[in-house]
Amino acid sequence: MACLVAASFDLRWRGLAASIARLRDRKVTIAQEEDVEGMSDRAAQIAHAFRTCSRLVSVADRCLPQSLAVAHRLAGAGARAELVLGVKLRPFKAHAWVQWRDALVNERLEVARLFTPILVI
Amino acid sequence: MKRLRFLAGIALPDEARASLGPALRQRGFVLVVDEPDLFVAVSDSGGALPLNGHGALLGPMFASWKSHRVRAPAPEEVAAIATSAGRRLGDAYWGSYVAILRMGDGVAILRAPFGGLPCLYRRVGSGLIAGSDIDLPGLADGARHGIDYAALCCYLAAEELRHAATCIEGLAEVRGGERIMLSSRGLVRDTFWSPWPFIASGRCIDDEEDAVRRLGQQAAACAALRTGEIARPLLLLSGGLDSSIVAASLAAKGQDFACLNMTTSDASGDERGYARAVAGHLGRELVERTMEDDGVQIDRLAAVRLPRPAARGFEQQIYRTAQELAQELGCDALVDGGGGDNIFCSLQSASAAADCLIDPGAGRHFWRLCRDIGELAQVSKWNVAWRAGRRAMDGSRPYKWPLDLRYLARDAQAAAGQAARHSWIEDNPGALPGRAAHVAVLAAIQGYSENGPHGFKTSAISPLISQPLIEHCLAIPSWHWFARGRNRAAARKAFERHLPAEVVWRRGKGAPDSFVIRLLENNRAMIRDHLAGGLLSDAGVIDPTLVLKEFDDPRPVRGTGYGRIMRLFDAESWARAIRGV
Repeated sequence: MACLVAASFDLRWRGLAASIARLRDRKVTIAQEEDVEGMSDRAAQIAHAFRTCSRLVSVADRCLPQSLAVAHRLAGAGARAELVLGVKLRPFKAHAWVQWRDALVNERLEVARLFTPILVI
Repeated sequence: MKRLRFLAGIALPDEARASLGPALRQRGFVLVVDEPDLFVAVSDSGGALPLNGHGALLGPMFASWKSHRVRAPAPEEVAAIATSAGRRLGDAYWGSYVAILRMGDGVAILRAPFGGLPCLYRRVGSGLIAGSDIDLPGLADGARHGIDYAALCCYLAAEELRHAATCIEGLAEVRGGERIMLSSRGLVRDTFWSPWPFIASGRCIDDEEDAVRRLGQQAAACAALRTGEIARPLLLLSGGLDSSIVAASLAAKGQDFACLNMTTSDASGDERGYARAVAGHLGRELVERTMEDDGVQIDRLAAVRLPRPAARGFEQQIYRTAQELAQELGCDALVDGGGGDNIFCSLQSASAAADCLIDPGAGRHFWRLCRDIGELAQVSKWNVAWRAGRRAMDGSRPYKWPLDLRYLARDAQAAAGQAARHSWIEDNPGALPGRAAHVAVLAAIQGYSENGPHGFKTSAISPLISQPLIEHCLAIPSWHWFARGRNRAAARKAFERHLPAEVVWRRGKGAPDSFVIRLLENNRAMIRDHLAGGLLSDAGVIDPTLVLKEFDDPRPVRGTGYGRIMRLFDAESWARAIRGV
């Protein structure tokens, strides 16, 4: 929850570019070698925590602050997760989600597949 | 599959009646009732049941206790129908019938709830002439069609809510579940079927297992009856829940059918994976086609002779492709999952949770529903609980239908003030808000089924829109329609053993939006021209400056304005066809 508030605050007051830069800087500090098995459980826990969180605070149309928060949380746990920004046409829509290795952390495949990634952090 | 047409005259002036004879013979119509003050003529005598001096029943009809179409009602049934002023029809029969019955010194016309056989009428002197399509009632006096632009404004503001008035001057409609009676007292209109008695607490099916089991049985029985005279239908299998339920219902009775999946060229309308899973699971042939523009004249697609601009261009194009494929595959009708969302209570509003606060026996479901609805709407359970609490405090307020006034001219917006009125919504006897919302979405499906067969949808059947299934679903309380963060839960549970899990519990659904946008992009100049200087603009229905502002926006198409513009373009195409310009 605290992560979500921080990410929203960051986006609102420092803007998208600074929020992305902060996440990028943070990821540089993560070790190249991940403990995949241990991390897998941790990523699942974090995904579950955010799902529970979404029952307590509304996340409709807030995919970007939520994904930033998820990405920071995973980075904090030592996972090199990727924040993906995607767009689609006809009609135009933009979306954000987090992937870790080959798993989607906070979005369903049937939704994410509709978007073409334009930026991966 | 032949489409029944009919023409009936009640107390017509002699010269009007005499002028009809040659016109009916020319069309090959057969007289099934021929009495001095009443005649009924049909295009196919097999589609009519004369009632020995009591009138006639037209169109396919089923009895609640029979497993096949009613071909000849027993004399005691005819008497029961006549003496009950037709109420017996609503209680014991269903289908697409129109009943023309003698009553006292007058004649009544009743139309089946959700019936697909249209019944349009106009007054001729002190009499009345009724027919199944817009060109038949005008035969008596040769009246040309004029457009009722005020009614058109209402229609465009709430197209799913229909009224007795049509968008053609002087032409009215008998709605499903309605009865009109012409007698010495003049023309009287009332209803013989309403959804509200099925919502009454005495009918509520609180046992979830029972509700779910009977839903599955009823869906299969209705699908079997509605397709009983079709050798091999082609099912439009979108991959969504509703058409998949129709597939499972048809398969449950061993019906032979093929499936067609129409996909868009981009991912948002590509549901082939789901359609393959369903067809594979049920062991039926699946054909896949891409929705193509193929240079079609799109201003002709929606130019269908309906009493309102109800035909949609993109949908007609999809059914055109389906119709051609049906012929190739030797299929004799199209079947679709139309109406499923409405019948299976596809809501995501807090009103269903409000029901749990009001109904004394349902309190234990409240927080579960707040979680499920919150998950659906991506809002917190607190947010749902707060809204439900407020809705419960104001429990008896009728459902408020949202009007769509986009791009309508200022005067047209004022003319559309009555558009949200509908007797089913207003007759709310103080019922639970979630149940009132279910009735409101059923009022929307009423118009969909009552358009009847038209254009490229002439041989299309939507078996979910069947009165017994709808009546059963109305008796299922709101809290059984939500589970696992999904709506339509009772229907999902009824079919979870007959469909692949990834389909029956799926959340999303595909949309043909990208196809609609392609039609718009490929025909920009024509659409712009028709809307900027067409009948709708001249009559002050739409405000062309508002339309062009959206239309000429150079950015990529976004939001939902494009859908509204295509809807207005279809209405323009309809108006031009009606006026013959």
